[in-house]
Amino acid sequence: MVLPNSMRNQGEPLLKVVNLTKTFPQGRTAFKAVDGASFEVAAGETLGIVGESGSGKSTLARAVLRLYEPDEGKVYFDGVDFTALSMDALRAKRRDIQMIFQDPLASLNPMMTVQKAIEDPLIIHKIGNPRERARRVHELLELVGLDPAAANAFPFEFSGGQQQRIGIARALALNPKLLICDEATSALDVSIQAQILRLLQDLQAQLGLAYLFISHNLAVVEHICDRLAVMHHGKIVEYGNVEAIFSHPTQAYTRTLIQSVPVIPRMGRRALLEARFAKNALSASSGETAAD
Amino acid sequence: MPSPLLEVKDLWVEFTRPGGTVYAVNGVSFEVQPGESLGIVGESGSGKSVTVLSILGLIAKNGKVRGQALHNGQDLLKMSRQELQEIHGREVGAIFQDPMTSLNPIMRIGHQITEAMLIHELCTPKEAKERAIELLNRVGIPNPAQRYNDYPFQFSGGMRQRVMIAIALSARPTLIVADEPTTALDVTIQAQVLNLLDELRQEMGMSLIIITHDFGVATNHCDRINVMYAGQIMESATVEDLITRTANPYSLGLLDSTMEIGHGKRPIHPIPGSPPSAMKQYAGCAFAPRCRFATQRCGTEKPLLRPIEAEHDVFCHHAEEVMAYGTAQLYA
Repeated sequence: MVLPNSMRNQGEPLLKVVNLTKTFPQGRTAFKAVDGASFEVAAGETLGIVGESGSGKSTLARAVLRLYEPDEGKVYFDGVDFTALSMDALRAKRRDIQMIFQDPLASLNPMMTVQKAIEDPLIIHKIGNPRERARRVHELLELVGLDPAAANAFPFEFSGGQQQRIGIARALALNPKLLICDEATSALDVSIQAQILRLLQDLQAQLGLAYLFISHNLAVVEHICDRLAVMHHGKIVEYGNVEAIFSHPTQAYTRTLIQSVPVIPRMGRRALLEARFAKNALSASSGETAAD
Repeated sequence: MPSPLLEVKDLWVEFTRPGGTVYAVNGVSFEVQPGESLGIVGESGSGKSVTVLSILGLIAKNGKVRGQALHNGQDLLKMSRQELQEIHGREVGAIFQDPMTSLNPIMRIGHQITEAMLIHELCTPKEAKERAIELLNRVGIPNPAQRYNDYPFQFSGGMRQRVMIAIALSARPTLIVADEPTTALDVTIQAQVLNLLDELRQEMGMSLIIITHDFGVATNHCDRINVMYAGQIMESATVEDLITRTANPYSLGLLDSTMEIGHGKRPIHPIPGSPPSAMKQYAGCAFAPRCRFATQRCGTEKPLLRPIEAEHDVFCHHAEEVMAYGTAQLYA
């Protein structure tokens, strides 16, 4: 289904997900990994999806792309109903959404040179001739801060941060409008994580990309997201502006998540001790349960 | 000042591999005082784990260790395997990142907790069982008497880490070494496990070494921090000094790279460049190629870890300049 143009022009979001549900069989019963999730991503913005392991955030991303076939719900991208498309039509349309993953080495084919890995999406979508594609790979490598000479090397020859840059270059090859980042910086060292986050920020400013940024790390999410969806047991329990959620979380679960992030006490010893005292008092009063 | 519980002097560790030598630890010296919590912070390859594992005699056979590690006046590095076994569990307990691979999957957790007590002949089997159940209760495991007979797979990740802590505590060691103890855990569980370690340390008066890549964890749960890079200590200071009077450019860059909550959406200022190769030996400072304070001297002359103020040692030719810059930035 294509929405009428009038609707698309009036601030229709780039991605609109309505009541998405994905169930997996679990013995005789079923496990609802994603339970009626609805959210929107506007062009050029970053929506964060946070939650702990098993909260359903990665399943949600895969269901959006129909890498897992959702049981219920609708996914509109650029006004097109993804859930109603045939596989062929979906594949053609899906080039506008690309994904980067947590483990860059595992997500790159070890037998492919960097050149081949990055131009692969162009070949699949039959774009350009070999010379044009080589030029595009050169351009993309520079865009993500790698030496274009890297094109002839294999993924294992690079560090984790560089491998993630290769993954990003590949994801950008088709000029997508939306990039899904599934824990894209979680496996990286602190200083390298900062570099990749900075790269994502710069690319967004330069290319007007939208991000669906999946992470378990609230501090990272706060740094780079405009809006946020908090997932718990497959449901989106809190959804809104990042600043509003961090300053006034409405759900107890969100509050617990935020309070669990260790804060670097960047002040004097007195304030440091007071902060620790407040934290101890807090965990004592909330009657912290050991059940997990 | 009381004598330190552990005193490491000029520790060097290298691994010989077919492709060449890995220089993992390059002249590290530090102390752990009784009852103190020391954080060793660094990125992968900085030598933070190897430093501690080599002291415990837990590194691979191709590793060569030089230096001294004095524990109650005895050099751990000169001990035979048998002598070390007397120390393990009884004097020093260890907690590792992945509780599933550190626990024996086919042994009931009760047996794993009593093992150290029985090996060191600290009590009778009956007393050991009582103490194990008491410990399970203390680390927050519900129905400890029943769970005593369960296998590791019957516990969640956070619960397994609690079992690991119970094992480490079982023989009442004076030092606990925790190598990335909460890195594999969810953030809410991480907070619970770290708070538990804090409480137990204070209750039992143990010393604790936390090895972590996370400044947030170290600053909240340690008294002092050693920042490591390229197998060297870049800075050693109390938590407060390290944060408010940072004097090493790498510490400063790492603090800036650490994502924190409560600052809103903002641009990130990473350290440029890549971590150093451990296969290389550096004539000067290994951080110099990535350092904005570096001068020609840094490339050719290796700095010494030197005191810049009381209880604050820095490995940098330009420490005074760095501290002035960092404090100005902090209070700007």
